[in-house]
Amino acid sequence: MKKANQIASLIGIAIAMFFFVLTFQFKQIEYQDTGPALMPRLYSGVLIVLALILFFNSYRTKEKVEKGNVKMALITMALVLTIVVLIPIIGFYIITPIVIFVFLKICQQTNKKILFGLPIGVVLFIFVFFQKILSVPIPTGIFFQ
Amino acid sequence: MKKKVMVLTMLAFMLVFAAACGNNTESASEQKPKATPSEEKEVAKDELKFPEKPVTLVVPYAAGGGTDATARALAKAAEEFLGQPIGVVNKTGGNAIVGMSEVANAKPDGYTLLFNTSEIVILPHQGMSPITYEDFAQIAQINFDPSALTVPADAPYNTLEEFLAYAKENPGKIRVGGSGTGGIWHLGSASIEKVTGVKLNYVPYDGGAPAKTALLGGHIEAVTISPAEVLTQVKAGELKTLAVLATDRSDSMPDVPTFNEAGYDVAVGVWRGIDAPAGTPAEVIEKLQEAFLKAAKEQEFITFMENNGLGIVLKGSEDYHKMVKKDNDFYKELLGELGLSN
Amino acid sequence: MELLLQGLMNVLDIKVVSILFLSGAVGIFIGSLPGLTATMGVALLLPVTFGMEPVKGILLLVGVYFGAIYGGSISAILLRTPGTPSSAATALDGYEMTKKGLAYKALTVSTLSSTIGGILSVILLIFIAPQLAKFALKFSAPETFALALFGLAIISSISGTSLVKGLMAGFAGLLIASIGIDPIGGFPRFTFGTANLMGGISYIPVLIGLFAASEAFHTAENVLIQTKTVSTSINKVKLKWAEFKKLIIVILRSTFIGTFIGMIPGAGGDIASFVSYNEAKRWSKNPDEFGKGNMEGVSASEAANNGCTGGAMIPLLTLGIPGDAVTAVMLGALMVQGLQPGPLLFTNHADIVYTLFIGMLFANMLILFYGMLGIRLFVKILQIHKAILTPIILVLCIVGSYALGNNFFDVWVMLIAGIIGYVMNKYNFPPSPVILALILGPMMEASLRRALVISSGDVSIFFTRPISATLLLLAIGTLLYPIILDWKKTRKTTTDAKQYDASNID
Repeated sequence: MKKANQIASLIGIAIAMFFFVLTFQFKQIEYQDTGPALMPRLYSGVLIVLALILFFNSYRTKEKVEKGNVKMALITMALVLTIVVLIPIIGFYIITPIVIFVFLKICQQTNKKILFGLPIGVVLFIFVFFQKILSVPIPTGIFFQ
Repeated sequence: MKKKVMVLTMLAFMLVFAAACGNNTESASEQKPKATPSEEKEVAKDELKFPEKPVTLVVPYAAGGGTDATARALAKAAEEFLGQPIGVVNKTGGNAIVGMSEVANAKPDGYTLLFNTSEIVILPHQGMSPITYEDFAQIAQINFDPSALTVPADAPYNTLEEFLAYAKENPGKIRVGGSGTGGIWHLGSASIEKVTGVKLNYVPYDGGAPAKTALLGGHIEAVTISPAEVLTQVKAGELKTLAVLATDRSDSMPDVPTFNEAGYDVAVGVWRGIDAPAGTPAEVIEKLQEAFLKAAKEQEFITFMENNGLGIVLKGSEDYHKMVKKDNDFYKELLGELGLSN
Repeated sequence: MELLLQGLMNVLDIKVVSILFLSGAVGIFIGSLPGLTATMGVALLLPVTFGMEPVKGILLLVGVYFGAIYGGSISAILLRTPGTPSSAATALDGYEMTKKGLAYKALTVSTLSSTIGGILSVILLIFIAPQLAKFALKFSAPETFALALFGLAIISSISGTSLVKGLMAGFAGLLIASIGIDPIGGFPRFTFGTANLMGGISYIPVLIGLFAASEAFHTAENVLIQTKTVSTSINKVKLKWAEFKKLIIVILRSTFIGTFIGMIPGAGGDIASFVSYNEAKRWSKNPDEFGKGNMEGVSASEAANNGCTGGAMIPLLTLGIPGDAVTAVMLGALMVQGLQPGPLLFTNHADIVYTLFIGMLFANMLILFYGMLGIRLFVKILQIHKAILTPIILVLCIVGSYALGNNFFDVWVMLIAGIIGYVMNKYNFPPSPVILALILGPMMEASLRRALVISSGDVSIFFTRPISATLLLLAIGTLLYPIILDWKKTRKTTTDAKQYDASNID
């Protein structure tokens, strides 16, 4: 965890610096209040201090990183990313069932009912509940209008 | 077995829901997803054939708000005259700019419309919106609500003249609340300062309602928000409206004089109207204008507007366009003077 | 009293009762889905009420509102996926209880607390609404600032294992919250000229990402393992009467906090539940157990957010000023029906007002009915295989965050927050401070600067007003308390002296 905390601390400092520097581009139209830049500067300043504390405390931390199958989590993230990227192009109703099917395959599901039933069921539910009942205009992509 | 129970529960829930809505959902008209610009251009060959499919009315504000409610009431009334369902879609984000640009970039075929507000003539001058009123073809104005100068009922001034005299004697002492800096109600207050020469202390709030709350709590001395937002308290005798920033008196407050009557030529307020993307064929605009103006004269819509204290001001395509252009120039100048243009 | 009886007669109409039954179920369902909040549920059903009679239409929305606030706790407890922002604090201990196999008990506690909190707040609404409303009006910018600061100070008590990490998450959240149009000067900050950033990052997609999506990614780690984990070992441990008796104080306190915060314009159930959670921890005999599955935490959060419902109605009905986001939508519903909320409502439409009161009591009792009936079914969600549940939750995250404003940008915010949330969880950075900062950050900054405009730049406005000064003191106390506790604990372990027992410190 020591290394992780040090990296986290550096990321924190980087974020804070990024915001801090940008505040100097603000146009100052203060009249009686503090102006637009003060609070973000305060926030980034405190964040830097906290990050430094974390950095120096990291030498005596007893925290442990939880072990897990990170690969599987990354695959899941990639699959969600695929859906989000492809929705505007080929539409929600096509990409989503395909990705769910792929996910179930990766999870070594063999039950045919689940393999085919779940993708169709989920999409059907979204169609009926969100699109029809709640009138949410689910994007259908550029091929279907 | 257990899965079956789950599935059955889910089904039951869905049925219950469908029943709940089905009972009274005439308004939940189905809607086709909106057209994207990349679709093959197809010009309406026969004007009489419009509209052939449901029309989408984009509201750039969240569901449940005042603009949304007005749009839905109007859409419901206009369906009859248009002969096709009108699906209201809320597209929020970026202070309404996301919804506005969506329609500005839509195919100009009259099937994607915008329920636009006066923000379109304010935001561009503050550098907050790349799109302007010129990106739209104005179809019809539906409503106008002036900024109404309202004070507590026990305030030491009873008329606009007394208020201005007090303000002159105590420059910067009167704290006026309204929307955020550069928002319409701030511009209401700012134009009072501009035309009368008094000095006020403007306090920005997140909108009209919080400003009214502060006024009721005695934390500020006046507000410059819409009549709709203060009407209840005015009727209850807790607040009094001294004047409205308009050329004509407001329908919901016929007894309140205008700034115009006091000799100041100024009109600041929120308007709402129907817009189509620029480049929409004139025949389509004609048809839409007719349908929406007729709808706005329906009794049900009038009652809705009265209940909400919203003023109905109808203008056809041409007059609406002129008004928008005039407003645009006015706010451009005002924001420049306030040092708020970017 | 006569009016209340008359109201009771009006509610006991078969149509009104069935509307309440249906809307309650719909509300619970909407609330339990991540992405569909109470505000959205009410807003989406608003057009349905236009054609209905006033009482029926409003009670339909009331049923959805109350049901959704309760429903949010179900998914928060079972899946660490708060269905509504109001249940974010419920997830802190609710999900830990589920991990220990105590899902059944957690849901019982949540149901009972929600019902009692809701009913008590409606009773307060009925009997002392006008007096409370006057108090709510005293809240000006300095008070709101102090309340927001107090809320943010809670970060120190929900930080979990590492205070520094919690505070870092909180301050990063505050920076994110400052993206968008500056609330007082109207200046666009950190927007890079993009329209979507102008409006700021809204907290609901972030909430869905940090909690629901990140938890789904975390669960995905174990989809290949077929062992019997939490899911199959649902411990049917029920709530004992003696345990419930201990909760009564927590519920009462949280209800009052909830009603109080609910009636303050601009502050809603999300803030109320965090504040109550913090107070429950402060007064608890076992503050160390919070965050590890203490049912007082679940109870506090749920009593508070349902207590908030009645509270938010107080300024709405008496002043015409909505107390939270949901009642802002209901204000529209009342206006459409020709019922102008405000001082005249009680004199002109007393019959309708009292019918609404009885209907609200009824709607809260329905939570008990559905809750107790449903718990056995709700916990069955845990028996669904993770490989099936994970894609369902993630698809709901996508659709839910899109449905908020039909803006695809929110889906990206959700996904990025989900990935960041997953990483944060791995390295012990708690997600709740980020949410708290996103909700309270803009409120704090806007009211601080607004107060200075009101006072013409005089800082003493914060200390000379009694409510503001009290809340500021509370904020400082809340911030320092865990630090002192931490320090005393270190001393205790080093000196091993029993008189420094941290649990006895108030």
